Amino acid sequence: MAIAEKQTTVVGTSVIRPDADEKVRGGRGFPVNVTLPGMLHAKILRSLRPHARIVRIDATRAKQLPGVKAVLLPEDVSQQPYTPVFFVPTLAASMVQDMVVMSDTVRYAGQPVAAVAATSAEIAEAALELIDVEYEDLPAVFDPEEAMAEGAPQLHESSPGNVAVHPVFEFGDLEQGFAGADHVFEGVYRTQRVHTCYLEPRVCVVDADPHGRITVHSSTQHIFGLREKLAFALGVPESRVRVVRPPYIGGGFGGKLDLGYIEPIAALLSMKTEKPVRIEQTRYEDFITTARHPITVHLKTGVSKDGRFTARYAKSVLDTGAHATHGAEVINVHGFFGFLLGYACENQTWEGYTVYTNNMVGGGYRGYGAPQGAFAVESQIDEICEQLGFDPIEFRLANAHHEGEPHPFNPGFTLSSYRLDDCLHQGSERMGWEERTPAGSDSGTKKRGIGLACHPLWVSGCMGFPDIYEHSGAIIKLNRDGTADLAVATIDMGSGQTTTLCQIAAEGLGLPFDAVRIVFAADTETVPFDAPSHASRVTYSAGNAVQAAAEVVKQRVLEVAATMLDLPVEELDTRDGMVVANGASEPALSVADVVTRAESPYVQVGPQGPAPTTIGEKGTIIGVSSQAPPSNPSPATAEFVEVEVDTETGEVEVLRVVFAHDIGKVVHPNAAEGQVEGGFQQGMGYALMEDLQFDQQTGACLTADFLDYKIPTAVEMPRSIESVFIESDEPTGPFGAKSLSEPCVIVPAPAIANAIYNAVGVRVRDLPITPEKILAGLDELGGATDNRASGS
Amino acid sequence: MSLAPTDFCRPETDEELVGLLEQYDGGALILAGGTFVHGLDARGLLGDVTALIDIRSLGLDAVETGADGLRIGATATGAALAHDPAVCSEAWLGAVADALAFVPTQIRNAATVGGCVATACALFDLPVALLALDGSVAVQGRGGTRSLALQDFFTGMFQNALAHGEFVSEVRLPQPPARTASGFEKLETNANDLAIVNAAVRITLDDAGSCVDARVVIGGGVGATPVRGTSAEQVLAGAIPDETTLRRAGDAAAAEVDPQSDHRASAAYRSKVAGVLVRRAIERALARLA
Amino acid sequence: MTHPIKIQVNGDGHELAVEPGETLLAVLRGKLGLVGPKRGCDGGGCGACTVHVDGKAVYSCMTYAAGLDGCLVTSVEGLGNGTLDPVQAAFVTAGAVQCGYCTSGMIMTAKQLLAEVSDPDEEQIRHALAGNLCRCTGYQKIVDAVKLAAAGA
Repeated sequence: MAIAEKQTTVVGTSVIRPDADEKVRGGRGFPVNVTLPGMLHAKILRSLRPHARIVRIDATRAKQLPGVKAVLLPEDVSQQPYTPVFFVPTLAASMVQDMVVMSDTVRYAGQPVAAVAATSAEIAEAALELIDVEYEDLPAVFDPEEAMAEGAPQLHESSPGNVAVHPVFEFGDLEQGFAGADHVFEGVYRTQRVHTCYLEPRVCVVDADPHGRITVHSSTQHIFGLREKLAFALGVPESRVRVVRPPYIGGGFGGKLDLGYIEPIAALLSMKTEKPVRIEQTRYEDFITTARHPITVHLKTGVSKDGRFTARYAKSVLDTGAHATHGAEVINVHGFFGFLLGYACENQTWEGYTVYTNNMVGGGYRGYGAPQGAFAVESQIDEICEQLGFDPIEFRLANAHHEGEPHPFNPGFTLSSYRLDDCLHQGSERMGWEERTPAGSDSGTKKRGIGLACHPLWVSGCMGFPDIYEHSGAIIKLNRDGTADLAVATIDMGSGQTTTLCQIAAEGLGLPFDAVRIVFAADTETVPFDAPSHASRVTYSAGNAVQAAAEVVKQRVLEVAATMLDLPVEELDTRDGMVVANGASEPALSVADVVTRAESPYVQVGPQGPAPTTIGEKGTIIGVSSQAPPSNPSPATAEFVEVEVDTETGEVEVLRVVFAHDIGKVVHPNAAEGQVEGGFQQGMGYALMEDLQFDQQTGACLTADFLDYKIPTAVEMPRSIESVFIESDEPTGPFGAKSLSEPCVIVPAPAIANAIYNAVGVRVRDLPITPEKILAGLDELGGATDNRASGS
Repeated sequence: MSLAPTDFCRPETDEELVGLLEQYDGGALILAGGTFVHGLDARGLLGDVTALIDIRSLGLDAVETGADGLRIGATATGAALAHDPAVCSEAWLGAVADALAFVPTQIRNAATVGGCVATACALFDLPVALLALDGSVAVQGRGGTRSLALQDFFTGMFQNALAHGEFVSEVRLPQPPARTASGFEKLETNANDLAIVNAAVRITLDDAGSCVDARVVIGGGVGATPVRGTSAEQVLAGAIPDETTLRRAGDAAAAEVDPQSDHRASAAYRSKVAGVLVRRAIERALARLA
Repeated sequence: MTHPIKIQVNGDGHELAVEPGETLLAVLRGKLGLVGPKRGCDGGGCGACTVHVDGKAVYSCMTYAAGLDGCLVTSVEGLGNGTLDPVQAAFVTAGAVQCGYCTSGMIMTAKQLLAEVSDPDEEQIRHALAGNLCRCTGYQKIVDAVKLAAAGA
């Protein structure tokens, strides 16, 4: 946890990822590969109606199909509601408990109403056709404003007006703030529903043995959260459920942060059949399982003539779909980190609405409400600066927080490292921001523009947030060959969590990187709790815990070495797998020697016969940590994007990106770049093309495959994405590191929107910014390009 | 997914194939690469299929250049066609090369020209190029072979003029006069996408540089089948294809199409872009004659 | 009614009885226990299932196994012969592997490109990979890996 006192040798280098070799050979460790003897396959029958009561459901014919072993209906399932969100306690007061495994009321098209376990997936699928369901259709509502209006169909008795939560936060005096403003800006900014598109589907194998123990394999971002929620849903003690940590999963991005339908359904079918049950979702099922919530943000902002915010107001309406789940938390993260806290302003009011509709349920997705806020705030700042002639960088800095100030959300913490200014200045220099020309000034039919957006306040984990788990732990054990086994519950979903933690362990132990291995046989019974891989927390929070465990182990190594060398512990250190004494030019011992000695018999037989060693030195060298992180430091980001707009078709090509990011010490530069580049793919898709669309009458998904749901391929990506890392030194972070990853997805959309404005003078305030919207905007402007021949 | 065939056949002669088609009496699906079988199934168009018939053993995969033009065997893959020396170098075949460049590697390696044509999907690329080149299909059945112009072959979205027991054996592109070039343009959201709009143009110039013949075809979401841009052709006929003429041709095409609105794009947008793509396709073709 | 086929997969001969509608992906994973080719979607949209049939990259999820009698199939598991193939090694070195789910498919598509074009430029690489989706990497380091493999060859 201390500031790095010396140069690091492993942290800060782009080591080869230990899981890469296995993955390029095919990747055995994905949960999708898990099979167990006697395993059955289950399929889920999903209602196509958006709002209906199940009057009658009859599975007699399905049960008779050869190969069918069990059927699950709503009547077989507990109706005790819970929140399925992993990172909060199941009955957390700040969340809404409105979820059940299988309900007799359908609230969205695609909701499970029955499930079948059979000897093959094909038989299970065929059996679904033999289940007869009689529905009583209920009126449906798909728009959140309509859902809040008088007379709208009510989805949950506990939430009149279909408002699941309605946080309101007021600071200062808003009226006075507006009265004191020289200019007031208002606008409505809308964002759409998009899917995480993890490539490995949601999949699980659940094995309920006859003794009541339930073992779970799942493509999940949180083994402990899965254990807690599944146990609750099944009505069994947590200790009966063992969730295995997969070696890695095929992507998560926040889309695997809650108890899905598949785990409890598979568990219940396994209990019925006394066989393991596997469920793998189809891509259609994944599309309708989780999404980033669409939020409409109404902004009203007062600005003084010298470029300071005098008043800021926002109203955010979030469409959570049929159940609140993540929507009850996303709204708060959105309100605080997507609007209120990023910039300093005394007079602010924000009100949020998480609204039920008969749409699909939203979930977690990288950024968790901040992208929706950043799109609104950073677009509007651009509009303010354009209209009033302010410099977009200086305006942001004039209203920003500063390093050393109390943290805006957790005043008990400090912004101990915070380099927004460096991000903006260095990024702008790298991009050539000063050469930017006024909006729409390019001649020709293809016009270029540069845009900027920043995300001034984010998180490294969830320390300090109400009702959110934030502690991590690690076990490190040394082997006689000088290697170290690191056991954590932390999930590696591709960002390189395993690599990062091994680096921190190696650095902390004084071992070479290759000597540290992640233990594959970890599960909820063998390792300490870790919060999910989410909220940009692993490097900082789990990293701190790993560093703490490494310190315990290193201390023990030095104690044993001290007895072997007859030197004081304080004069010894480890370096590159060796024990070195102060002032000595050569290492005295290897760490392997030390471990061997600790694990060897107390009495050893040598040339002179048997001789005792020291009792105190005997024993496995093993260290455990479990702790909350000491703070919640904020990364800072600024992104500069250059685009080219084809004014004849409205198509946008992103040419170049410069992303400046203060993440403290960069643990693995290549992996950090990978987060920036991958995050840009998601942010660019969000900005320009992704849109999960549904029929507004039936609720049916219109974009349920990759043919209709468009994400950027290698062809659409900019040819240049430059990462600039401002290496501040975070005193509370492992070797000075904070976390990264979510800001990479938060800033692209407003940066692109602002670049498009600079290119062609068209401001689009609802995502995605399709070519069609740009053409419409150009038409409104008069759309004349210099090339257009008159009189044609 | 409703497709659940019980039989898979791989005939080795045309007679065998025709016999199988008659035997299954409408319940057979001919496939080669099979790259759109899933697409058809997802749209509920394959519920009655009981047999899959793979026709890649019939030796219909040749691509041949002759005095009368290009003959493309039905089971020639997109990749094979893209690598054909004539397609790579002849200006008149430019639209074919352009269209094939848009197809992702894995599809191009498996999808066949016959399958692409027989699917009769108005959102595909290659058929639009083939139409602009006055393509025709050779259709074989019990009664022998007949030839159909492509525009007569496409009768609707996923509908073609094959009678029961018939199959496409070849696509033919007639040799045009000298000083003919073609080009193809596509608007798509990402690089693995059906066209929002696409357009193919074939143009023949005389020694003075005026257009003596033009064919304009627009596809994508502009109709149940690709649309012939006759107004645009009329603008081009006899004119020097300068910037003004090209713009007028594009505008004529935009006014002529009556596209659909769907979750991908509105009709108004498709019309506007159709005009732009037609103009750009003409430019692409002309560049091949420069 | 099952259909008999003889195929070579990664150098091993197999005689299999396959269902008419059975895909190559289902055969490779279900019958032959391979893990490289993966299901990421349900119809030729993501590329995670890409393998070579007779040296050409295809979507195994859309290829009917019954039509592959006499064919040679190669997945990532068939590359390298004990050590890593140069393309596999380049993916590791360049940092092109994050979650790894798209990796096998990307490698197979890249292999075909490099077999046909020994020194592809950036545009050729990106267009060759247009049928392979990745959600983690933004493709940048995948493109770098293909360039690295081309340079090393």
